[in-house]
Amino acid sequence: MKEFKVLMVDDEEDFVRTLDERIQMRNLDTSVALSGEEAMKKLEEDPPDVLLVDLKMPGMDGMEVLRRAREAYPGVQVVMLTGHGSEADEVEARRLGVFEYLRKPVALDQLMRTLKAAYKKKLEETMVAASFAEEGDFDSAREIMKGHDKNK
Amino acid sequence: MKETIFIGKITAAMTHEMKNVLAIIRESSGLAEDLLGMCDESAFPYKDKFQKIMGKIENQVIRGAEIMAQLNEFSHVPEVERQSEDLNLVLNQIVILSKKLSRSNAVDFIVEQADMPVTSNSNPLTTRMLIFRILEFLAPVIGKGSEIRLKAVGCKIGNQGFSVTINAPVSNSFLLEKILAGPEWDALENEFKNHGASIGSSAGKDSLIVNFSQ
Repeated sequence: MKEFKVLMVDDEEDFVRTLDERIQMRNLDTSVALSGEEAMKKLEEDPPDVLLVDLKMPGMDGMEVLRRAREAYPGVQVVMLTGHGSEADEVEARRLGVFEYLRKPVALDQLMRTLKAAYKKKLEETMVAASFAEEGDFDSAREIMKGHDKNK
Repeated sequence: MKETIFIGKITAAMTHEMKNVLAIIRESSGLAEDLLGMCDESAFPYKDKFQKIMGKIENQVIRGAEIMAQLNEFSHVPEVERQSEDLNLVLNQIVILSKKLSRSNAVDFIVEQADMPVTSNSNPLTTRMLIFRILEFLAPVIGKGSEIRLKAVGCKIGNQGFSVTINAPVSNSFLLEKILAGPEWDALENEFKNHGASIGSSAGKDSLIVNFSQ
């Protein structure tokens, strides 16, 4: 039984396929998309628990994937892993609700810790949102799933 | 300026590419290490040796990533004419990017971190160029195995400048005299002057001090 699902999005195929293999060996259920557009399709077909996305890609870039994913699939936590990021990019990604912003090359231990922490956050948010929904407060539940708890 | 910005743009793009290259090397070597970890020692007698090789690859990737990160930041320097920045970070950057100079002269460049940020407000490219010039000047003459220690010093009241103290084995008076008497020193002094800076020995004659005006 795999621990949780991760969708990895990167146009560097050699990188993402190798990383995919390594993460699978660590008991996560992984899949790969080689573009932002492909990632959005996969998100629609089978939303993962955590989305690991590169920033700079031809076509739809990682920032746009992050924006759309947080809007349409607020339960999915997004981790950005980039070789291109500036401080301004990091600020923007955090504004859009990225769980963590990592720079390539990253140590696998650090990446695994981040993915697990992102999944833990997803579980916590889901539980809190469920408790609001049970009380009929669907607005709060929705906001929490977007990562913006309006009661904070 | 346009030319240096162009060089910077190309360098920035290539450092990004290199980060991807390093990431692929790291993951490929990591995957090989993962697979090796599953192998029995008896099934693969070179397991230990291979693991050591993987460790070397990992260390070189870390080294390359650090250089690329600094080179990437450096490549954006020509984009601004003037900026406020912490000189401690500038010294770190120059020292990392001067590793080749340090190695080829068998001397160490060490940044002595100031307790507080030392903020400069100047042309960032000129500041870096002058710090590099002093390293380039001193490294071949101070003797193999020596250390050149750099420390940023903040503004004094009423003085709008900032300085970098350079501690090299120039407390050896013979060496200091030799350095100060050489024709290259005059050229260096002029170069600093032309950029609104100055270089000289400290009052105690135990270090060199570069003064920059803001």
